[in-house]
Amino acid sequence: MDTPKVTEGEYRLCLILWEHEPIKSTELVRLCQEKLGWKETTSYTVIKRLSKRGVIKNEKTIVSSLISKEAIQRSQMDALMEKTFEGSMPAFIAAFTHSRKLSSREIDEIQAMIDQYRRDEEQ
Amino acid sequence: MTALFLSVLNMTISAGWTVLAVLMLRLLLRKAPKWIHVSLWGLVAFRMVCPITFETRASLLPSRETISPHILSAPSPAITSGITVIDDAINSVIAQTAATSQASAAPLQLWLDIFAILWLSGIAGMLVYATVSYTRLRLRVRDAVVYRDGIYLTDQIGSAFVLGILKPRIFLPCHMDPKDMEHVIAHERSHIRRKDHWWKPLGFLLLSIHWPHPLLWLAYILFCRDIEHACDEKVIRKLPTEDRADYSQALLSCSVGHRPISACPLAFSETGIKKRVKAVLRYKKPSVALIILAVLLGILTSVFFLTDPRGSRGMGIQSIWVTEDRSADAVIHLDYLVMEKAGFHCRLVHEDEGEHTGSGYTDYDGALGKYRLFIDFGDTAPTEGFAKKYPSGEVHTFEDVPDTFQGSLRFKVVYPDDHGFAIYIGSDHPLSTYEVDFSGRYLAGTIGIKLYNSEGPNQ
Repeated sequence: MDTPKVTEGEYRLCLILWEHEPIKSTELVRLCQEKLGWKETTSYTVIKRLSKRGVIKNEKTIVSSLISKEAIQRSQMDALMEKTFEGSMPAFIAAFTHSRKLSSREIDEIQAMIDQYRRDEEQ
Repeated sequence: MTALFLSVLNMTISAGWTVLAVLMLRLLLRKAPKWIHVSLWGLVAFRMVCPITFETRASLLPSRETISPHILSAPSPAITSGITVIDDAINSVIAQTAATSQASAAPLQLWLDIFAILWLSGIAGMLVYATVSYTRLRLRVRDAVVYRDGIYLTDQIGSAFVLGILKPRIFLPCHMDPKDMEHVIAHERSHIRRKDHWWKPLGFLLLSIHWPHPLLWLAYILFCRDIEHACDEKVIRKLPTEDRADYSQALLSCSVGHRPISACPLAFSETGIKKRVKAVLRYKKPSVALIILAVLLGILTSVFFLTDPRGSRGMGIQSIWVTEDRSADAVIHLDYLVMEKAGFHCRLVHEDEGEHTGSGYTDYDGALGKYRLFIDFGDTAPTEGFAKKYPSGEVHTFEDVPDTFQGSLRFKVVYPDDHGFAIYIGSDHPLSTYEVDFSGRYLAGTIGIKLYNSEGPNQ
């Protein structure tokens, strides 16, 4: 059976869970706020998502994990390879880079510019 | 609603002219710091927000008001864009649309209503798009994990950005090369310090309202690019020169690491990264002289383009038509009926132009005031009664005109040998009626004149 994939945020919650389980959901939420900076609603949403996918279980407000840390970590490595960001960046968001794909020729050109600069600086 | 649409459209058109000016300035001030380029776009924003401004002689705008919001009540609706070629082209289309009917406003009204509805739909569409994408992005990064104060990591995004208007937060893709991280954070921080998380959405809002003008889209796109450059410069200014290579490397790595983002209507092909890397590597602190020059040019441009051309407001004649049943401020009763084709041509007379008499031209004696309209009735012959009431060359004042015009609005009828008759209407106040051609088969007995006072043309 395939190990369910988890997002980075979900993974971080699992990390807290593996360290402290079994744990009351309210306590888990408090830890998430402290360590991850999450709002209560966010934490509860993530707990619900993870239990729906069978990664953790929430029985009578006690939360515990269903899948081991090692198994998740293995599937994370695989997921990393395929990671793509799908979805558009709205025009009014201040973003670091533009969203256009660079051709490999352009990439080489730009890299050459940077390398040339480094060489000149060293002199 | 049509009047509102037209008022905004006039602002859009003025903003468009301002974009041209800013484009030229950006070219002239190529070497100036980018924050100046960003500020220049503020001039365009001003025109998109302020419907009225000072009137000066220095204004370079072609026209104060391209489309009168009351265009439909003119007998020959026309636009005054200030550019003859455009005016002629569009006015002939309008004339054709209005050509056949006596109720010439109806098809035009219909078209204007259609355009107004399209315009509103465009605004709605853009605002919906903005709201939806913002919400989706917010949801996507909901479970981002805090890294440092105000900085969050998530694996659900491909590049770093700032999100949030009141509480701006920096979001970074979590599997970033640590070497790049500090540079990216510095860049995003400078976005926040420059308040770009306010300006960009504000710009988009303005664009949503003024969406019909293609130059404004160009302006927004360039504005966004300039913002990125300005942030690069802000970071680079404080970095030792050897770190510039690292910053550029971060720019490159962050662009390469992920797949292209699809379906973003504003992401068209431009070599953004290449230009930015170049700019970063070549950055030099700008000279004070250049900055002073840039500010001066900016002020000049403000005067030229943020003020309106003078003379088109103020009191005067708004329109003239042959009235059947419309409220006129002043009337000339013609008391005749013509069966064959008839009509008049109305134009502004130049100050130095002489006047028709029965048998030729004489110098103008100034009796009608500084500004004159010449209404030429061509082949139409007046009736005896009319000729008796208005002997040739006698100056008459209108009765029952609003107080402000009392005594200042005068007319006289002349009977040139080769013509039917003509009327000169004169005033000391500027006359706004452009060239008017009225032709029809049947003329009712009254010429109506619509006036306006210093508040501007009204309904």
